[in-house]
Order: sequence, then C-alpha cells, then structure tokens
Amino acid sequence: MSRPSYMRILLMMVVAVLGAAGCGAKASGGGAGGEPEPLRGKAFVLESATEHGKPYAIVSGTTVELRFTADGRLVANAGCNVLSGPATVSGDLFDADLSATEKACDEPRHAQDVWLSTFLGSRPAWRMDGDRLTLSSPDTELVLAPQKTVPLHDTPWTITTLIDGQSAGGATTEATLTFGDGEVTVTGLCNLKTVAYEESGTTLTFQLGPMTRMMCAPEIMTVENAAVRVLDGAATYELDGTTLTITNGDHSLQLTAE
Amino acid sequence: MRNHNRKRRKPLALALAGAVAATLMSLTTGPAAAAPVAAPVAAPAADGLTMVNGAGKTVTLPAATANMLKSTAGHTGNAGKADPAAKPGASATPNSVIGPDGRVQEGAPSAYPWGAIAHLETNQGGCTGFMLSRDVLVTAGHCVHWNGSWVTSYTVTPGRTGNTKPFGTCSGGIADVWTTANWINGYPSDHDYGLVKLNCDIGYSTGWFGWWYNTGENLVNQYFYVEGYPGDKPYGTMWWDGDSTYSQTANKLWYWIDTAGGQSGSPVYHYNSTSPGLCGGWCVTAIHTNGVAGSNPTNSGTRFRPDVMSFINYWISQP
Repeated sequence: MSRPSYMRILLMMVVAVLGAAGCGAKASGGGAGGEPEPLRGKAFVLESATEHGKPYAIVSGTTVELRFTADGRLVANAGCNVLSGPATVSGDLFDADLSATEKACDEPRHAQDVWLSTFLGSRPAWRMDGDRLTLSSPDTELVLAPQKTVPLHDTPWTITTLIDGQSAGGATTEATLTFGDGEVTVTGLCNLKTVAYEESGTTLTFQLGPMTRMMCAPEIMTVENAAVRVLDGAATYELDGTTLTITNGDHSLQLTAE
Repeated sequence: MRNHNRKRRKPLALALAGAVAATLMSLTTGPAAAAPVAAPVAAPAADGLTMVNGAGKTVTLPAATANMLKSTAGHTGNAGKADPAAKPGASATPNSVIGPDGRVQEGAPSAYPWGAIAHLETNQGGCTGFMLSRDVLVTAGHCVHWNGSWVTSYTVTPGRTGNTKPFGTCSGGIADVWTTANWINGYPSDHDYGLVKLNCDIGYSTGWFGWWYNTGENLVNQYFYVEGYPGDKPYGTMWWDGDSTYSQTANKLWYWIDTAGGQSGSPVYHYNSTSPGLCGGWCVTAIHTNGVAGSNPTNSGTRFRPDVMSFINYWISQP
C-alpha cells in the first residue's frame, strides 16, 4: 500500500495514541463538564432490530451484546468477532471507534459482523427508554435490553473457567455450585458435595468438611482440585450479570448462570 | 515471492551484522535458540536497547549500536497501493485489506519457518496460530475464549494448502486451550493472547519460530510480515503481506499489513539481522489480533512483553 500524507499519518497517530491510552476526547468518555458517561459500566443485549422499517433477523444461535466498560470502551459481541474501542456520546449521537478481531466465520455470521460494525461506526442516535437503550440511524434501529443480573443465592452456577495464577483454562467437566443457606451444594464432581460458608459483603469464608477419597476421571479431578483450592478459607466474589468469579489467593473459579 | 524478498534482505542483514559484530561479540555469550526455556524479564536501558531472546538471554546494547540493529531492509513494499483512506468502505469491513490487496499466497508453505504457521479450525471459527515449541501453538486470546465460552474442539494443520497437509494434523478439545484471566475479564485488546498446548509434538516436524521483545525499541516504521489463513481466499491456503508499522504502545503494534478474517493469531515477524545470542533469523514479536474498523485504517496485534512471554513460557515448560 502507498503511504498516506505526513499530515494524515500525524492525524492517525494522534487518534491511535488517544484511543490506545483511553485519554482522548472520545476515549475519555467524559461528557461536558467531566460528567461520567451515562452508559459506562452497563451491558445490553439486543432485543430487536429493524432495517428500513422491517424486522432484521439475527443469525440463529448468536447473541448481539454491547458492554460499556468503566474505562470508556465498548466491547461488542457481533456474533462471531469482537468489536472494541473507545466509545462516547455527544449530545444525542453515539460515537464508537472500533476495531474488529479477525476470526473467520461462516457467511451469515460474517455478514452480521459487518452489519453491526457498519452501524456502530455510523454515529447513530441514542436514547434511553426506561432501562432500554435504542440506537438508530436513518435505516436501522436497535433496541437493547439491560443484561439480566442473576443473584448469588439459589442459582445453579456452572463452573466454566479455572484460573491458576496468570493462566486461565476451561473446565473439563460440567459441575455446578448452588449457594443455599450457609451451605454450597456441589454437583458433577467426585468427592466434593457440600461446603459450609459465611458471607460478609463480598467476602465468602468457606469451611471444607470431610470429603471422600475416590479417584475419578482426570477431567473431573482437575476441576475438583481447582474447586477445593478456591472453596477453602476466605475468598472474595464478584458478580457481573450472569458471570460469577470467586477468588482465593492466586486461584479463581469463573462460573456462569444456567 | 517470499524467497525473493529474503534474498533482497539478506545482504543488508549481513552488512548490518558485520557492522555491529565487534560490539555484540563482547555482549553475547550463548548460542541463538528458538526454544524459550524461561520467563526472562528485561529492564529498560537508559539510552540503549535491552533485548530478550527466545533462549531467555538478555542483552543490553549501547544506543549507537541499537540504532544499527533496527530493521532497515529498505523493502519498498506495495508502492502501487492507493491511499487507504481513499478506499470506500475500508472502515466498515472486518476484512482488513488497506488499499489494494497486497497479499501473496505462500509459495513454500511447508518450508521453515512458514511450515510453523498453522490453520487453527475451532468450533467457534477459523484462526491462525504459530509454533513456538514442540507442542505450543500461540494464537489470539479470542481464538480460544470469547463471549464467556471456551473453544471445545480444534484442529491444527501446519503448512497446509487446501487438502495438502505436509505435517498432518493435531486435534483436541477444551483441556488444551489456554489464555489469561486478564483476557477473559472484559476482553481488553491489550491482553488478547492465548495458546494451544497440543497433545502432539508436531513442532518437531515443523520447527518453530524464534521470538524477541525489548522494552526500549521503537518498532515504528520497521518492516514486518503477517502470515496466516484468511477466510476470503481458497479454504486452507496460507497468505502473507509485508509492510511497515506506523504506531505502537507498550502492549500493541499497529501496521499497514493487509489481513482478513481468519488471520487472528498470525505471527507478526521479520528477519532479525542480529548475531548469535539474540533472536537471529525469522523471529516473532507480536500476535495479529485486530483488523480495520472505525476511523483507524490500520491492523494491529498484541506485542510480546514480559507478561505475555511469562505465560507462554510456562506452558512451553510443561511436559
């Protein structure tokens, strides 16, 4: 490719540096007078879409989700690829300067990626109708509902991720934790069936009881060993929509609500 | 063809190597190696350049010598290309060809190092990865975990051209794919890296890339390649493009190199014209992750750095 002019390069470098640093006018996310962005820290799931006034069908099996992070970024799940970058609002217009990951997808999901990327880059108008976010351009309108928040208690949480220090890996068997009245009920593992706990703020203090000593399949024991490391003593938890993370020292479990 | 480029670059590389040989000989003691063995940490040099190679060796060069080591291959690239900003729709498509398409199909897909670049097919989509040891395939984080879900099945095919698979394939599942807690917690682009700990030693057949990072080097305007398996070309074929970088942060690198969907996880590499002890030869310094979108008409990748290589080296060290 030929090089752009030096002025264009300079301009693009400024945009890139501001975007990367998260400190530019757009990236700061600060509204007039330094007010916080109204969308920061919120997540929405696409409820309906229309194109030229007609319903736009999302590819079956996919979810379109917009997550506005506390540091002023938008992370969008387009169905296959990730769209992410600084996002802000200017009056009633929504600005997002997004970059897309480059997985290869089947044609319907690829087309959906392009559709969402094009729309979000078109400076659509935004408004809140109650708790719903509406983004609209002359041809397209998206209505997004707030991501549901699941309570810690009485929800079957499926272990999805085992974190050991820096590394995170997927759970190799299906196991669930359900937080009841002072006791966590565990399913899907080998010897770990229940764990007593006390809750104080975001701190969970677990007390492992006697456990059997069976040896099960390696993929089950991997998850059980990780669970035992986390569900023993004082841990902290964080709830984010349908995701629960329990951390105990260098070890964490990430779980999702069924 | 890539071999032609390599021939053009080599005399310059040799000239540079010769120019700094005396200095380097006093600073390096070990042989070059492509197989990392530890998690090295490089301290920033005050006015020089601190480099860490794949063997875990740290070398600090004086500023004057460091400047001579910068890539100055003088490759003219695709001079006939148009201004990227002039291409209609360039900001709206995940396929990230900037201006006219400069991509070239790999002419020697089974030769080293290109045979160490693998097509990574998963249940979530198609990506690229590259071998960094006998059994570690490095790729993008979003190629192993995205939207709360892990890849649960994959097939790795190095050096393939369609149905021609010179090294065979290696397949597995969720137990083999890894990324970091930083990536899965909010998917920040700076932490978009992951790997597959293969259940085969296919790297002994393909070889693997060397790698380096340094904490002081300015990578802007250096010439790099990105090579992988774009989804808009005949299925399972390897394509490359080379061009300059235009911007960097500590964690990311932006460049004009043409890519497309399917090339997430591709190596960002070039020929390092350094003497033994550093990463000499074909070496990687970033993982391609993102394509053109929004107002920024460049593609980008995650730079190698201490936390990235600490993670990768841990898995390389595992049996």
